[in-house]
Amino acid sequence: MTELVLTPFDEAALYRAFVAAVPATSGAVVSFTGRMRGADAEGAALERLVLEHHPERTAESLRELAERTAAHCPVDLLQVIHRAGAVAPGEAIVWVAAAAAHRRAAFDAVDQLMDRLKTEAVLWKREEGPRGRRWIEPCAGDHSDRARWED
Amino acid sequence: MRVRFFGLLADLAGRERALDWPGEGGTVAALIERLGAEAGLGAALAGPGVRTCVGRDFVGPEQWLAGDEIVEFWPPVSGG
Repeated sequence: MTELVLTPFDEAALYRAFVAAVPATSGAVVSFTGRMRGADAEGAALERLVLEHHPERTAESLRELAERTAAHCPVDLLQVIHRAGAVAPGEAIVWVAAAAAHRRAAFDAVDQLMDRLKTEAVLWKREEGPRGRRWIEPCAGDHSDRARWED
Repeated sequence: MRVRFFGLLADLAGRERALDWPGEGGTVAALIERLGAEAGLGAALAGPGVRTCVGRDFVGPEQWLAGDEIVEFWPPVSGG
């Protein structure tokens, strides 16, 4: 299940709902929350992160990236919730969870889906703070992380 | 023709522009040239990783545009 949301979400509630849906065949559950850091890469304070989305293609891209990840990792359940719009420091930007028979598949699914999201999700991200606004693109590390996984 | 911009390009050009497009049509390259001349977007649209999207497809500069399309210009995407 994937969802694009425009307002803050409750990651604890998401986790409870997710584990309630995990089948008895799953021996492993892994979740990851990506949160808005209140500082940029140079350590300067940030007031918000703005994620601009496409009216159709952003939600589609979340679904496609989750499906591609599930095609590579034997998971029983895989979920991603992604924010768009203005995100305040400390708020969750993205939440990913996987349930699988064994832990390696669950860890890999979350890791792989995050690497795909960081480089391929249809979102345009900018930082805003006292020093102004700056559009952010994936860095070399994001691309090398993504390259660890097959298409 | 309707042209949409995202990310940094929307800061420069606005989110959407309506253009009168010649009845005989023209290429994406001609559209980019025109946006460069009329809106000063030449350098931005030629920037690294900027893609042109028509419908659900990314297209190259030789793609023919009849004028009834919605053409989108995408800077590189950057997920969460």
